[in-house]
Parts: sequence; structure tokens; C-alpha cells
Amino acid sequence: MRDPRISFRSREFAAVLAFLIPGAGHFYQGRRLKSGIYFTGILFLFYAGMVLGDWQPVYSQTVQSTRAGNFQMQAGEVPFVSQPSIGFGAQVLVGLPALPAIVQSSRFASDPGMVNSLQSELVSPFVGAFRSGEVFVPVTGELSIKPARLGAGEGRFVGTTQHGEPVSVEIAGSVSLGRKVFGSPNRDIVVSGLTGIEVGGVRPYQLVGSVSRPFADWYQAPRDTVELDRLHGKLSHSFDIACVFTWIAGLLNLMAIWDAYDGPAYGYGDEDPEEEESDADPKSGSE
Amino acid sequence: MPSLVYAVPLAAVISLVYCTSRYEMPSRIFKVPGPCL
Repeated sequence: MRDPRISFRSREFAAVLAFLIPGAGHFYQGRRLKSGIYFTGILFLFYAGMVLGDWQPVYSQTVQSTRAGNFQMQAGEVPFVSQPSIGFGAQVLVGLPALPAIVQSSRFASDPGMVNSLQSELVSPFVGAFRSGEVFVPVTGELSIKPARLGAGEGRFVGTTQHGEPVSVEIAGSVSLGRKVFGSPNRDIVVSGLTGIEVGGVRPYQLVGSVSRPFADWYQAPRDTVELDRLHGKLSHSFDIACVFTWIAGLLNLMAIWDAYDGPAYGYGDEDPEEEESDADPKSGSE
Repeated sequence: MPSLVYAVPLAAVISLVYCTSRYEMPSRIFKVPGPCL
């Protein structure tokens, strides 16, 4: 039974607020201490999980292409199988902090897939390799290219090989970029038209690797199992613990929503059962 | 030992939020006049 001493105001509205922001429903009801505890406790757990998991434990679905090869570098028309993330069912209960995943899911579905032309200037750290046939020479550095005619790109790559040898090469050729919206901070790229360079006894003609993807395009976006494998490889058990933190934060907010809607299970805990019985006895006696 | 780094805050937050949701806060009790006060 709801305790009459608690002011619930509009219980439905409080429950919606409690869902959107942990503790907001209680703040609206004037239950400030509870509001503070829910807000701090639940959001601490959620964001501790996000930090532990490199801001990537929240995603609404995993995808799997129906064709072999790199998912990022496939056209948008290639059908894929998507599987909803069960953990997201718990994470979404945190409210606003987990809702970008739904927006990203919709953006992902309308993404045209691999981009075969460069539309704007690209300046980004690059991790990958020079390619010459079946020979790959790993390199890291800075890639700087701008659009040229017919969707091609021109610019320069400056970096070092895995042996510390500095390399610098002019680029004037085709550019293929991985899909724009995808749940990985690394966007795959293939750049052709390398000229005037010889590394490790070979003359590479292609740069194959990844550049950085803007935060707004990967945060909480759907990803494939390859990306999940990469995350596990990089973060090991931290990624699993991060997921658990965010799941539990969502489930705890369910308790907060319930409390905002229907009050605490045991009220103030100051009810005296003996007193109630003694009140009831004379009544029944008089009847 | 390192597992405690994760287990302690997790257990603390779960306990705090669970207990908070079971009872109304004591601060409210003191604001409400009643025979027990």
C-alpha cells in the first residue's frame, strides 16, 4: 500500500522522468535525498562501465554480412543479418544515456555503405600497411588527402614503418572509405596511387588500413562480431566487466522507476504491527 | 586482489540502491510529526 506521507504528485510523469534520468522522478516528487542517491549511484556505475569498456559496451545490435569479407567495406545493398543485443535490454533502462544507440541503429540502417569517392578533406592518424601485391609493410603515421577530380584524392602520407624507418609518399589516386556509421572508432580505408616510394625492397602502390572515425559516427552504433573480437582482444576481461556494470546500472534504475511510481516496498519501516492489532481488536469487539 | 577493484564499488552501489528503493529515506521520517516522535 502506498504510504500517504509520501507526495507522489503525478506518478506516471515521475516514472517517465525516472526512466529518462535516474533520480529525476524523485527530484520532481521532492524526494531529494533519494534522487541524489539514484542519480549518483546508477550513473556512476553506468559511466564507470563506459570508461572501462572504452565507451563501447552499449550497442543495440550486432550485424553479420551475408557475404564474405570486411563488413565496413561492403556496399549498403549487401544484405546483412542483425541480431539484437540482449544486454541492451537492460542498458536501455538507464534512459537518456543509452538512447543514442537507438538513433545510431536507425542511422546505420540508412547508411549507403562503402564510400568510393572522397567528398571532403581527410586528415587523420593512419594505422595499416603499404601494399605491393601480396607483400604488406606495416606503417603508422598521418594521412592527409583532399578531394580531386572524379572522386579521387590527392595528398600525402608521412609516417614510419614497423622498423622505425621514416617514410613519406605523395598520393594521387582512388580512395575507398568504410561505411560512415559503424560501431568502431577505426574506419577502414584503401588509398591507391602511391608514387615514388620504395620500402623494404618493394614498390608499394596501395595504402591499406584505418583512419579515425568521428565520435558521433561510432558511439553506441551497431557493430559486427569482428569488431567485438577486436574489443575483447584489446580490453580482455575489462570489456566484459564494463558490460556487466552497464547492465546492472540499467536494472537498478528499474527499481528507481518502480519507487517513483509506487513508493518503496516497506514504506518508512516505522509501522508498528502490534499497535495495528490492538487498534483492530476493540473495533471487532464493539461489533 | 584486482577483482576487488571492480567488486567493491559494484556491491556498494547495488546495496545502496536496493536499500534505498525498499525504504523511504529517514530524512522524511523526521519531517513528519507522529506519535512515535
